[in-house]
Amino acid sequence: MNNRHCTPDELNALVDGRMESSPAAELRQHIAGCTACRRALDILEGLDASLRALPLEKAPESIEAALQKELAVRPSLLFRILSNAGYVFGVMVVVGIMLWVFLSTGVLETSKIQQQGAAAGAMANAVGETAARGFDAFSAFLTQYIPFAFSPGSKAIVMMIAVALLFLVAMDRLVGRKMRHRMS
Amino acid sequence: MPVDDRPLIEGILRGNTRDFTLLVRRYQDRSMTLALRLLGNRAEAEELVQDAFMRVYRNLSRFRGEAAFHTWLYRIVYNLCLSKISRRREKPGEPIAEELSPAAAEFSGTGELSVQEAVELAEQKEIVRQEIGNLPFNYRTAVTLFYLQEMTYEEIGAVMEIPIGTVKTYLYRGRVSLSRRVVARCHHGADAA
Repeated sequence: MNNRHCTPDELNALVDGRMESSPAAELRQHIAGCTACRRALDILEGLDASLRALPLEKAPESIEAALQKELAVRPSLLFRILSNAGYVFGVMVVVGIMLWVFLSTGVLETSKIQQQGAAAGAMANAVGETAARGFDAFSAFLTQYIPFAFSPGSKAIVMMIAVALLFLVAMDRLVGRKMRHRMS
Repeated sequence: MPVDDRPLIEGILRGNTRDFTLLVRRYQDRSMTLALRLLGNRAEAEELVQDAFMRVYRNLSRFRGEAAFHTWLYRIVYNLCLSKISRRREKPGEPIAEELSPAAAEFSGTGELSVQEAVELAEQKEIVRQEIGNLPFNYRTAVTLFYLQEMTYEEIGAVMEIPIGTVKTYLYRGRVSLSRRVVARCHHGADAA
C-alpha cells in the first residue's frame, strides 16, 4: 500500500463508508503519511459534506393541481360499459371463430358436442326456470310503475338489456382497475 | 427507514386518486430536484415531473415491485430527461474507457486555497449547487442521485441502467470535476475580492 497512491475506487469507498474496517485502516495509515493522497481525501470529504447539505428543490403546487385536473377527466360509466361490451363482443367473436375452425377441421366432433350439450341443456333448463320466475316477478314490479303493459316480446328485450347492463357494471367494478388504466 | 409505498400503490390500482395525490406529495420534491439538476431549466423540469407522474399513473399496473418504487419513478424521470437532453444534442458524458489516473494526480492542480476556505466560500455562494449543473450529464446524474436522492450504487445503476463499476466511475469523475470547478471559482472570487 505505501508504495502507491490511493486509487479512485479506494477513495470513493472510503468517503462513502463502503470499505471494510481493516483495509480502511491500512488506507488511512498510508494517507496519514502521504501529502498528495491526504489532500485528495480532504477535498473529497469536504465536497461530500457540502453535497450532503444541499437542500431539495420544492416542487410547485401547480404540479399537483395539474395532475388532479387531468385525473378528474375520467371516462363516464356509460363509456366504460360500452368499452367493456366491446371487449366481451371481441371475446365472443374470437371464441366463435375458434369453434368454427375446430369443427371444420374435425378437432371437435359435433356428436360429442351434442352429447355434452344435452347435459348442459338440462342444467340450463333448471337455471332458465329460476330465471323465468325472477323475470316474471321483475316484470310485475316494472308494470306497477310504467303506465303501459309489457308484451311478451318487449318483456324479453327489457330483461336482456337489464341483465346485460348489470353484467357489464359488475364487470366494470371487478376488473375496472385495469380497464381504467388502459383507457386513461 | 425506507417508506413502504405498497399501501398507496394498491389503493391507486383500485382507483383511489387520493392515494395517488399522497404518492405525488411524497416524491414530487425529489423528482423536481432530479429533473432540475439534470435539465437546468425550472419550467422544463416542472413539465417533465408532471409528465413523469402521469406515466406512473397510467403504467402502475405494470410495476411488479421487484425494485423499490422510487427507483422505478426516478428511472422514468431520468429517461425523460435523457430524451430531452438528446434533443438538445448535449453530450451525455466524457468517455470512460481510459483508465483513471491515481487520485493524487487528479487534485494536484487545485491551487493554494485551502479546502476549508474553498468549501466555506462555496457554501456561502452556492457555487457547489451551480457547478453541479455544469457537469456532463452522466456525472451530474450520478452525483444528484447519490447525494440528493440518497440512493445506493446499486439503485443508481438500476436507474441509469449501467453496471455498478460505471456508477462508481461517474461518481468519482463527477466529484473530481466538481472539486476542480469549485476551487477554481473560489480562487477567482478570492482574487477579485
